[in-house]
Order: sequence, then C-alpha cells, then structure tokens
Amino acid sequence: MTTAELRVPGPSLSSVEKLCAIRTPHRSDAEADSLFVVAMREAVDWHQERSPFYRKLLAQRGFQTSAIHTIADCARIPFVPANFFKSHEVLSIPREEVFLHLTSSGTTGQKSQIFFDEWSIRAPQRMIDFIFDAHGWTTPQTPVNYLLYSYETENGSKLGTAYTDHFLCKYAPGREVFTALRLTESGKHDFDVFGCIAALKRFAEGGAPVRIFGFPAFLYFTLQRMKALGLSPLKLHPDSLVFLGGGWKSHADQAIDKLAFYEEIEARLGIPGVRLRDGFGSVEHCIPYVECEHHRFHVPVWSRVFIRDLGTLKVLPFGEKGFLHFVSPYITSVPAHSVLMGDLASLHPGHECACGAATPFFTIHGRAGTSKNKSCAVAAAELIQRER
Amino acid sequence: MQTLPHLWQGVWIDDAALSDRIDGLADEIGATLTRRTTLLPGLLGACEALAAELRPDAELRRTLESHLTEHGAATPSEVQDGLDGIAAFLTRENLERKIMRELGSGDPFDLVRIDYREKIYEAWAPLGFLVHVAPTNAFTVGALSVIEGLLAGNICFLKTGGADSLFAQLLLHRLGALDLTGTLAAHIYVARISSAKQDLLRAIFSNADGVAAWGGETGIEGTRKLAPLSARFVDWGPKISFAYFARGSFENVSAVDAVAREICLLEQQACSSPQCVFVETEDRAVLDAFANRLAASLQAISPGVPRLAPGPAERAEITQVTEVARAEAALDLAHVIESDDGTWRILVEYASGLRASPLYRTVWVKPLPRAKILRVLRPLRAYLQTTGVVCEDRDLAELTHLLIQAGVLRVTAGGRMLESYVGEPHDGVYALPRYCRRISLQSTTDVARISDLAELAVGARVEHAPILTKEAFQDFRVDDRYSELFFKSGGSSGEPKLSVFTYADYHEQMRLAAEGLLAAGLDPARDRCMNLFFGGGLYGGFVSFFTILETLRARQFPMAAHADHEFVAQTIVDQKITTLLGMPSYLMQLFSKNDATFKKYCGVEKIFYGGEHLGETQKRKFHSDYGVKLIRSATYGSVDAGPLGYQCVNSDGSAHHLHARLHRLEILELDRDEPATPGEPGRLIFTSLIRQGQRIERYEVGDLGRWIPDPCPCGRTSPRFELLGRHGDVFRIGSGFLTYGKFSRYLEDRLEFNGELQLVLSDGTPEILTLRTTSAHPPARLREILLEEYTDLREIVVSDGTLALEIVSVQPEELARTSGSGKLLHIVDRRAASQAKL
Repeated sequence: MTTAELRVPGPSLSSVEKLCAIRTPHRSDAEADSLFVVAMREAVDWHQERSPFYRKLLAQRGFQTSAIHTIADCARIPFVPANFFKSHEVLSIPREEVFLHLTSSGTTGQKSQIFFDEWSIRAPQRMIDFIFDAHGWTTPQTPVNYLLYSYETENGSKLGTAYTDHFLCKYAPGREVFTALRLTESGKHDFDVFGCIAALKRFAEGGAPVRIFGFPAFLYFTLQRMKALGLSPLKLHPDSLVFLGGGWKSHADQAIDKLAFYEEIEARLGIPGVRLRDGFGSVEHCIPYVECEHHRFHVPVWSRVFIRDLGTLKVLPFGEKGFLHFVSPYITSVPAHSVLMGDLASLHPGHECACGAATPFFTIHGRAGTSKNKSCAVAAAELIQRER
Repeated sequence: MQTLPHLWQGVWIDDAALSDRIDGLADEIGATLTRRTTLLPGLLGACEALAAELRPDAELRRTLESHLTEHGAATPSEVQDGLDGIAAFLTRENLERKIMRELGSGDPFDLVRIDYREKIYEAWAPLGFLVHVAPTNAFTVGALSVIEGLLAGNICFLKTGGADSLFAQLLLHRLGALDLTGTLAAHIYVARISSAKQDLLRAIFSNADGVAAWGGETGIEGTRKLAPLSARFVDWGPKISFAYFARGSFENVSAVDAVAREICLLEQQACSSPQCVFVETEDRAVLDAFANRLAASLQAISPGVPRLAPGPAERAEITQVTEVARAEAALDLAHVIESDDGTWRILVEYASGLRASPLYRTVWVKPLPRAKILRVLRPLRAYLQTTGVVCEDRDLAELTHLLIQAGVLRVTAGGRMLESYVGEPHDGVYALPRYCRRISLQSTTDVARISDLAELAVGARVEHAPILTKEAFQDFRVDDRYSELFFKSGGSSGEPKLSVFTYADYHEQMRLAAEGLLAAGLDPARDRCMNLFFGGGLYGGFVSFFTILETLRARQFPMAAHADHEFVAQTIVDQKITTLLGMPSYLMQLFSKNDATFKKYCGVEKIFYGGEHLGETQKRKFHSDYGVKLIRSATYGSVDAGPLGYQCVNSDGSAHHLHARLHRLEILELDRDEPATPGEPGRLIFTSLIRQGQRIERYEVGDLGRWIPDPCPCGRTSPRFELLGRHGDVFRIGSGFLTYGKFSRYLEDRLEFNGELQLVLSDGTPEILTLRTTSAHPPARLREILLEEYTDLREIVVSDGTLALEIVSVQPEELARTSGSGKLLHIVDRRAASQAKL
C-alpha cells in the first residue's frame, strides 16, 4: 500500500481520512477546524464502539459525542494519561489487525507499548512526508551521508526511536549510513563515539550533505569528545540537516541549553542554525512536531493542543504552564486520540513567532511532576554512564 | 550576609580559590591527619554551644531563618522544624548517647583491651577524608551528615548542590568558630558545586576514604561513579514505608484513625510516613470497605492537621498518578476516593505491588495476603524502611518475621511509624561505625599491663568552678532520667545517704576499675578469684567487684563477706583460690580464725583490698605467715565519685595512679583553694570527665594526698599521688597540726601494733588529746614511742606544753563508731568550738 492509497480502517472515519490527508502542515482556517471537529466525533465514536475500556471511561465521565461542536469542545473529550499506556494494553481493533507494536526504548522499568494498525502508523509517517516536503528536505536527487544517533537494529525491531530514525532516511538517497549505538554480540548497544567522529570526518571530506538524526545527548557527547581530543572543527556541507528527538529532560544535569547546543553544533560541524531542528513526538501520540526555523513547535493541522492546570486540570490560557494535552483523531488502533502527557508546557499564539506559521506553538518546560519518568533519553543516558 | 559560596577550613572562598586549592587538598588532608588531635571534646562543646545559638530569637537562628527564607527552598514552617531538629540533635546528651550506642564507648577512639586475658587492643578510627553529598530536597541533611562524620573523627568535605542555599556553610562555619580547642575548623570543608563540574568533583573525590551519599536514586548513582573504588560508599538513598492491617484488625477504628493521622502528618514527606496501606485480604469488597473506613477517618482527621500545600511539581505528580488510577477504574483495576476539597485522596488498587505515593495526603490501599508478603515486597527490599503493623498480638511475631525477611528495617505499631527513639539505627545501620574503621593493636609485653593506650598520653586541664563539698554533692537532686542504680554512701561520716548512677556510668567506672585491678597485678587468665566484699543492704562493694571480675573475665567465686569463716576458708582451699578481694577487717578475721588452715594452704598469692586501710603490720603478717606474695589496694575510690585511682605493680604503700580517663585531680592546700606545693600534702579535688545526670566538678572527697612528681617505671603517664589519709584526720590542736594516720603509722612501725585507735579532742588548759586503743601494749610504751617518733607532737606536748597527751586502753565496743556502717571514727572532737576541721 503506498501513501496515495492510505485508507482509514472503517467508512465511519471519512473525515479522519480527509483531515490526515491535508498536505499543508500549518494550515489554519475555519474549514480545517470544522473538519477537525467532525473527525474527532468520528474518532470518539469509533473507540467507544470498539474499546470496552473507553466505553466505560466515557460512561463513568458521562460524556457523549454529541457534545463536540467546536475545537474548544474537543478539550472536554475524556483523555487517557500517557502513563496509563505504560501498564495496560487497550485495543480498539482486533489483535490480528495489529500492524506494528511500538515500545518505548527504555531499558529499565515498564515499557510504553502502543499498538498500531496500518493506518495509525502510516498516517503520521505521511505527515512527516508532508513536513519534509514543506521544508524542502525531500531531495531524491541529492545523495547524503547519514549519522544516526539511534539503536542499530536487527531486522524487525520494534524499538520506536530506531524505527523512526531509519524511516527518516527515505527522503534522500544514502551514500553511507553510520549508526552510533552499535549492536553488540550480546544483544546490547554500545555507543561508538570514535566511529561517529571518524564518520563525521569522512563525511566532511566527502563533501556530500550530512543528515544527523536521533538522540541529542549522543551528538553532544560526540562534540565534547572532539573538543577533548583537540580536533579542529569540521566543515560539513551547508545543506546538511540535524534533526534530533528525545530531548534532554531526563538527564538535565548534563544537558546544556538548546540554543547553546545549536551554537556548539554550528561551531563544531559548520551546519547553519536554521538546519538544526528538534523534533517532539512520542509513542503515545505520534503526530510529528518539528521545529520551525525559529526552533518552535507549531501545532500542525492534524492535531490540537491544550494546556491544563497541574492541579485542577482546567484548560489554561496562552502563556501559562501546565500539562500538555494532545488531541488528534488520527489513531484508530488504541484510544489515544486524547492524551494527557507528562510534560510541562505552555502554548503561545502563532503570531508570536516570526516564521510565519499561523498555528500556535508550544514550549516544553521539562517534566511535570516529581517522579523519574524513564523515557528513551534516560535509557540513552544510562548507556552513556555505562560507557564511562 | 555571606556571599562567598565555599567554606574551606574556616575560611570563606570563591570559585576561583576553590579550583586553586583542590590541588593542595591531598597535602592538607595529610597534614591534618598527622596531628594527633582528639576532636570529640571540642566538638561536643561546640555542638552544645551551637544548639544554644539555635534557640528561637537567637541571632544565629534569625540569620539562618532569613537566609533560608530568601533562598526559598523551604517553607517557613519547614525552616522552623528543621532548625528545631538540628538544635535537638546537637545537645550533648543526645550526642553522647549516640556515640555510646553506636560505638560502644564514650571514648571510642582509644585503643582498649577487648579481652583482658589477651594482649589485644581494638579501637575505632576515622576513615580519614569523608566526602558527603547533600540531597537538594532537605536543607538540614548535609550539615547533620557532616556532624556525624566529625563525631566519627573524620575530615569532612560536604558537596552541596549548585543551586542550594549556603545554610550548611553558615552553620558549620559557626560550629568551627565555637570550638574552644581550635581543632575543628581544619576538619570542615563545604563547597557548593554543580554536579556538572565532573572534573572538579573527581579531583575532590579522588582523596576520599569514604563517601556518604544522600538523595534520590539517580543522584546516588552519579555519586557512586565519582567515588574511588577504595572508598567506603555509604548510601543513604530513598526509602519507602507503609502500614499493614492484618486480618482481625480491619475494624480497629482507633488504629485506622492513627494511620489516617500519620498520612496527614508532615504531608508524608518523612521516609517513615505511610505511602501505602496493605490490607490482609484478597476480597475486593473487604478492601473497599476498609478504604471507606480509612476515608471516613481522613475526612474527620485531615482538617485538624495543618496543611502544607504542594508546589506545582508535587501537584502535577498527584494529578498524574490520580488520573491514571481514575482511568484504571474503567478497567476495574482501581478507583479513587478523594475529598471534595481535594486535600486528601485514597487510591484503591486491587493489585498487591507496593507503589510510591505522590504524597500530600495521598495513600494507596492495596490487598496483600500474608503468604504474598515476601514475594511482593522482597524485590523492592533496597527501598523498604518502616512498616506500621496493626494486628492481633498473636500475629505480631509472624508478621514481623515476614516483613524483616522481605527487607523491612523498622517495624512499629500502625500510626506510630514516625516516632523514633534516641540512638535508633538509620536505615538499618548505625551511621558512626560506617564512618569508622575498626582497628587493632597486638601489643608487646612492655605494655601488656596497660589496658588503655590513652594512659600513655597526657592532656591539658583548666579548672574554674568552685569547690564542691560532700554535703553539696549529696544534696544535689539527680534527675530521674539518670537515676538507675542506688548505693549506700556516706557511711563513714555520719548519716547514710544514697549515691545514684546510670547503668552506663556504673559500667564505665567498673571497666576502668577493672583496668586498675589489672594494673595492680591481677591476672585474669590465671588467677582464681574470690570476691569477699560485703553485699546486700545497698552496699556497692560485692556487686561492684562482681562486675569488675566479670569485665576482666576472671574466674570468680562470689562468696561475699560470708559469716561462716570456716566454710569460706575451706572453699578457698578446696577450690584452689589464689586471689582474694575484700575489706581488710574481714580478711583479718578470716585468717585469724582459720590460722592453721591458711598456714598449711599457703596458696593465696594475691590480696586486693578496699574500703579500709590495711596497716603495714597486717601486710607483713599476710606475707610471712600465709605466704601471700602481692597485697595491694584493689582500687582507690569512693561510692560517690567511683574509682579515683589505682595501683600499678610499681606502686608501693599508698602511691596511686589517677584514673585519668574518669577524673581530673587537683591537690589544693589544706586551708585555702590554691594548688599545694608539689610533694606537700593537700586536699584531693576530683572532677569527673564522664558522669551523666550529675556534675562532679571539683569535688572534695575528703582525702589528703600529695603529688608524686617522678615518672612511674610502669610507663603510664597518668599522674601519680600518694594518699595521706582522711582530710578530717588532720586537725589543729594545741597550736599545731596533727595527723591521725601518723599516730597509727609510727606505732605500727615500732610495734606489732594491730589494735584499733581513736583520738578524742577535748577542751582544757592546755587542750587534751586522748588516744583510745584496743591494743594490748602498755599505754606508757605507746606514749614513749609517739613522743620519740612524731616530731610535731613532741614539740607541742613537750617543748611548748600547749597540749596534754593521754593514752587509754579500751574494749572495742567502747570506741565511737558511725551510725551507718559501724566504721570506726578516727577522731571525736568534743571541744566547744569544734575547730577540728581546720
């Protein structure tokens, strides 16, 4: 099935299909809004019919689909906390329709696990296509070198980050692909920092653009090691692209400020700041959020974001910090169409950013709460510490 | 206000100076370790003074309060509680008890014999350089950890977090300044260093002999990686506690109330606060009913407990955990009971696994059948701390066993989980031994009789208090807390009084008396000892020597001053007793009544006497008639003040070593409070170094003595003095000073004089001195000898004619005795002015 043939799993979801096919990531108009509202009604109905869990949740909260008329109404759709999915399997599709089963890449503790039907994974992937297209990063005629700060996989791995990073390699033909977290014979992953440095040197000499994807921490430690070794800065091709994901939040003691980090990358690798982008996404909510050239996460047309009070869970106005609440009808496999994330965030009107995107953007202020929420970046941090 | 962030051996420094000084740290540590300093006395004094400065409205307290409040890491009530807690911790009483409890001795760093039958010494020694890593969530912990490290004698380096307040620096700076001995400050370093500065931290940690790591799991893991492998790693990581309701106790309303209260107290922020309540059931309905009961208790109790509102992060945590539980309700796995105003909530979950609560009156209620305790809890053993158990009495032993086996460290009653006691182990261990090494010395024969190497060192002393008389001492009201053991006292000088001790004091005194006896020649490995001191009637003699011999692990036959002398003698022979311990009068009676038996046996090698004087004539008789080889005072002491001195094998006559570990000694002139000229007689004034409950400070025991300035051949450097008799034994009469002891000594030296002797002083012109004696020698002969030998007496009687001397033979019952113990009164002063006591 190609993306052109991508179909929702049921006829009741026609608006969902239409919404997810919008190719303009930051489209913002009344038509898109009303399509979104209808699509959300379809999604709620879909899960209510197919998930005994969600049906009971709606009943317990006394919520009915007919209450959804506006974008603001979407905030009232009962949400499921992202943490809930870490310990419970709840499906809205028959098990045989599970196309992909993604677990978070944490090596300790409970793994997040989300089940996808083909639609639910392909639709967000197509959104990445749309985003790459919109940014002009789809360059089939220009071969590039890849440095992937993600786990080297055996075929069939279900580790979410690895899946994502390899997936990102399709927008430009690869001359060489180097994976930083090498799979060892024992089945564990070792961070090959010297391999990374050697690859970067090769890439600099070869002259082709470089695309660096994956965990920021490992790129940071590569740069640190280059500095410690007294290596002179490299000058990678200016059309190179750094697209990171996973964040710093879980090992904040070693993290540096994002903008300072970008300056460091620019200085050490010679890639211009506008080509350095962070991504935000999670297994529980797969809509891709990619930084604009001003490094802000604008909300795409396919989802909506609310910020909720940390205690009362009331929806907060622009600028105030609270829980990040994602709403999107894209997912049909599990009732994750309204997910309360564990991140502390604030939402800002689109016009506050000079990039021109009209949709609001959100800023992450770290984790909400006090407990260690072990996500991908923690596992990566653990790996780094074992390395030393 | 202090702005420089680091405290370096008492000096405030900035970041640049910190980096500069790290290179020299190893040398500095070496220099500090080379000095033979004893931190403890100065530290205890400084802690006590610091506690006083933490009283409400004291200047230091206000300074610290405003610093903490400005910094904003703690609420005003947390600041108050924290400072009160530190002040309570710092009291001398608490610290002394902590040291005694955790290190087993008030002087844990002195090498002492662990077995008096062998030449093995052990002691605690500091680890050396101890690095403390403070947690960022509790402002008091870092400074307290350092004080524990100092109690253990270490050089302490405290790393606080990059964003922490300067509380620890300010408090420990003051502590160093309050140390009168001037040794403490060199042992204290505090630096505020971000964990990101790994190179700097590594340089500091490379010196560490020990690392005390506080904080969360991640922080502790980070610290562990910095610590050198050779350093002892002491991990004070996060712990979790819970309550357990056993079957049969679900309806125990008062226990449910008590647990509900504990859920509210401190907003569950203590490690020992209940985060979960386990219920011994597998029945959901039973669990729900219990949760409803707990909810009713919380509803009633929570409003009455002042509330500390959670901050944003804590609120977020509560919300997330609660929302997951709410979602799980749709799966019938859990449900939430929450108060209308959101001030407390119960998370009922039907799975057994222990969960951490987001705190602030949030508690899990979960089922846990007894049979699953081990399986469910043991995987979490690294984190388990307290269980508050509510059960019927018959279940307590089994539940305690299961919980302890699962990894729990404290078991308390439900609702009493937060209560602790002084000296309680922390997270399963005592801190001080973890900050120490246990070291040993296997001695050469040269010091074999020295049980305590501290005896080879000399300390300085300063005296300033007024002299404490026996009367004042006995009138001192001892606090009930320190009143554990009572002995009759004051028997020799009038009305009987009771002396009171703590068991700890008693045992420490007996331990040192045991060392004195060892010094005097008792051989615990070989001697067969019979304890012949009087017992019963509140007398301390028999009991004390029982303890002393037990301490020495010497073979002991606890006979006491048994009235059946023949039986005693026969037992001595039958049991091949070699060593007798008792009062001279009893020993003399025993031997004279079984003269033939003992002459034939000749197996008693050693006599250690106490309580009375033993004359030279009697000693000679024991030597010549019964073959006794060694006769020595068992101890010199008083019931009030405990053991004061002891004789070593080189101590002849009345020469004694001071029990320098127990007391300081001054010898003051007879008629004024000035030090007596060395070698001249004076009054013995003792100051106890260790005595709980009552201060024995400059206590005049009533004995006379003089310093023996020459070093003792035995090698001990504890001061030596010669006892010269009771203070009252010196009296002014006929314009001169006379001493009772000299009368008896001259008579003993010249005659086989073994009678009792009493001096009666009467008015007259001139004044009259009547010597009453039970001796069979003719009075005229006694008078002749005394006037020949006793120069001072001859001068006032013969030359000056200011004193009339009479000698009278009497029967023993005619002599005046004390009303209590029936001891002989040496001097009876019948003069109107009664100026006998100087």
